[in-house]
Amino acid sequence: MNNKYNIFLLATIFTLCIFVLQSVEAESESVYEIRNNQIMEPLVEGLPDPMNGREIVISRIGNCLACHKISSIDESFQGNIGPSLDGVGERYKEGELRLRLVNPYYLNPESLMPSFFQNKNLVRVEKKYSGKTILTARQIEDVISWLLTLK
Amino acid sequence: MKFFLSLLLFSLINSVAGRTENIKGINDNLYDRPYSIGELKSGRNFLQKETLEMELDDFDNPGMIWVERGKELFNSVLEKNNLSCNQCHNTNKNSLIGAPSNFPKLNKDNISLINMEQQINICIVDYMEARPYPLESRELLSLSAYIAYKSKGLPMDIKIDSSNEKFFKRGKELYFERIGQMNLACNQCHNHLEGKYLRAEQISQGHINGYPSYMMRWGVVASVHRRFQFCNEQARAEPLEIGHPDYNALQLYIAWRGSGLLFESPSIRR
Repeated sequence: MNNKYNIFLLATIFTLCIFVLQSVEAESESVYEIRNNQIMEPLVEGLPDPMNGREIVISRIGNCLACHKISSIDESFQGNIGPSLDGVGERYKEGELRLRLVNPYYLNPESLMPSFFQNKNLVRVEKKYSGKTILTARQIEDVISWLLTLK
Repeated sequence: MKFFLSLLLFSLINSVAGRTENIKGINDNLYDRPYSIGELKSGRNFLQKETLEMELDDFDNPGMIWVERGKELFNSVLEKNNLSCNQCHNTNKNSLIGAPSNFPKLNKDNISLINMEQQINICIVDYMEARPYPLESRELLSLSAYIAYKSKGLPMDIKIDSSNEKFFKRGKELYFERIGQMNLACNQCHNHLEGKYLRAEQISQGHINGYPSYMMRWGVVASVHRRFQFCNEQARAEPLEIGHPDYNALQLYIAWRGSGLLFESPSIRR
């Protein structure tokens, strides 16, 4: 009886371990599939929050305004290195925006815009950012959902 | 599924790895310049009007406090053997006018580069038998700013030959290397994006003819290497130590690509 209980406990721990390992892997491997210049699948499940996305775009978290202009936002210092994001939700589909945030180099190897979802194959990353992506999968989905409202 | 994932990952890594070799510019002729002499623009061209006026007026320019202090140090004797810089470097001999064009230069050991600040320390230790100043200290930057000021208005003329070409190559490599979490290389902003805005900051051609420079963000005169550290931090890359051989190599390449500009130290930069 006691033995049976032990086996049950071990099996539970084992399953839990695998579950935890898998979720860690999902976090760090940044695996995604590009098809027709799009990443169709959201990086993470759940309903995106466009208002949080707006906050990320405007604030230093995403720092999109460093290079891009968005006329509807009342912020005096907006960059002009990248294209304006006015009407970006009309120009691009959800999957196209996701590709641009996740792997801008796919379309333009010279891209100045960083991948917001890359944590490997980078050189001399500052220790506090080491192994981290600029934004989390959740944050990227939130940003996409707000960008799609820019019409 | 697992197999599919690893295949995807493999192709991903390959595409990323392949990318670095294709960076525009690095495979061109070693001595290709991003800007012809006529196109060169000093950082001065990207200053706001008030800042430029401050830079041009020696009474208003806060960098002149470093120059003045440097002049005092230059003429004062250091410790043991009662030598001062001006005993060897005066108007008659080794005046140091134009000397900044020689830096970073090959050290006596023939295996490393040294910049102006490091050379000053070598003089202090070898000839004056005194203690060197810490890199980036007020005293060392004062001396360096004073020596640079002697050449203000002269053209930068950086020569690359067989003795320093190796370092020049390394510097160019570093200039084109994407680094940090932002995965950015110097050339991406400073070759051909000049005048564009990064928030309120206007992008310059990235020349260093105004260094040592009074940095408004810190309220002190800083060396080129400290400015490199700041650039690295902006790209979220681990900065190197001030005086690092790679920073000297990078300084050599950047100084060379701005050859023809006039020395402006002490300039004022944001």
